[in-house]
Amino acid sequence: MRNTLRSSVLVAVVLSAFSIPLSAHHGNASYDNKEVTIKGTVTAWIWANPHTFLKVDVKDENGNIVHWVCENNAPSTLVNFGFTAKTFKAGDEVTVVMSATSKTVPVGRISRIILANGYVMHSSVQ
Amino acid sequence: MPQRLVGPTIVLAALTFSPLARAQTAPLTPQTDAAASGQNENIHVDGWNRPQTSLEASGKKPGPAPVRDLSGIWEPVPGYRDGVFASGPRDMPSDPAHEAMMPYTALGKETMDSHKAGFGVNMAPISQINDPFDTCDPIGFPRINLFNLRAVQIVQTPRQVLLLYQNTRTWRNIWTDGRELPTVITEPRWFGYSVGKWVDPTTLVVTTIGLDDSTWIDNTGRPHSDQLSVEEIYHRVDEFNIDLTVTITDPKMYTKPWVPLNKFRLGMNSPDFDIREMICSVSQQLLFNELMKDVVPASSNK
Repeated sequence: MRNTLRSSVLVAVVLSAFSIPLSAHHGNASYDNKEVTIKGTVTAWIWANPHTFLKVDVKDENGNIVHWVCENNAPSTLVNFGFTAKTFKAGDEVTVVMSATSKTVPVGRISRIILANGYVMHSSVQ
Repeated sequence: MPQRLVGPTIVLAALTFSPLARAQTAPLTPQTDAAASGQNENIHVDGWNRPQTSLEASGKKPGPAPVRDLSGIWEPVPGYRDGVFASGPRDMPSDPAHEAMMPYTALGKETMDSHKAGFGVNMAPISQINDPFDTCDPIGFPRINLFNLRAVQIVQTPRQVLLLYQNTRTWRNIWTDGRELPTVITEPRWFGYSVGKWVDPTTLVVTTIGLDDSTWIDNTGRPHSDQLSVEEIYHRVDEFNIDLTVTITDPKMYTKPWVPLNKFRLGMNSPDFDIREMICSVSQQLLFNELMKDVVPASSNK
């Protein structure tokens, strides 16, 4: 009974999570063409399918911390450009150049990342 | 050399210079620090992060095509990403010009219009996309050939041809033992029922039926019914190359057959090429959905 209940709750959670269908395979039309550059501190590097994410905290002009979510290509593509699951760690200072969303939310699609030492990491063929 | 050392020496030499031994002993170069490694070029690496090129691109000259043999590790050429086909398969992408050539029936058009995709003419706001693959449903066939066709290893037994795909780490089996396709499908399958016949020494023709109609044919939402029949022609051009042609026949959805891939080239990789994982993980997909929930396409914001 307990297992059945636990399974039911799990199924409900999963179904609930999928109730807002989102695309792993959306086009870049999801983002504006306007280029945005942020400079901040890495809080997480998520090496996952269908796409990877770099989470970066940035201090805005009022001194508030903005939590940016920066989408990148799939691991199977990024590995060919020098990225690995260990390329970034929390605390790294980075500059991210990306296309931001059309809404005023701190989410964008990465075109390149500039490391603290000036090294530029591209995410696709230039 | 003393006679008793000759045998062990030969064995040691064979092991040392064998491809297997090289694969196991070659220094691995995991790029744990891209900045330090300086590798920020478009350098193709395999699953063990070893730089790889197709055999032909490495300068080797292909020999003649072997007889009735597709075995090997293959990737699209000239570019390993040439099989991604995000906006539809190479020879029938989902752009206005090609979409006008699609031979939809009325039901086919209606079904296509109901599919909200991430790419192509039916590209929809992310929150409205109803692509079954976005909830990690099995990608199914023929979409496994028509979206993100990456590395594929082909293994042959006396009775079957097995395809081991990088994308979603999926496999298919094609029976080559002379059996006929089932006449009644009591259980549609994500990857259907496949039989293959060698029509000449270097050409395998595969027919697949019995496909689950909840899947999409490609990444742009082209539909199919339970009447879908897919023909694949694998033509071994020479030692290093296969040309793949795919034909879609579905009288419920299309008024005539159409060809998403026509002689799409697959090139042979080194036999020590390790195929990288590319898995649709439900937990990772949930994370993706959560992180992307606020993304709204530019078009829907105007």
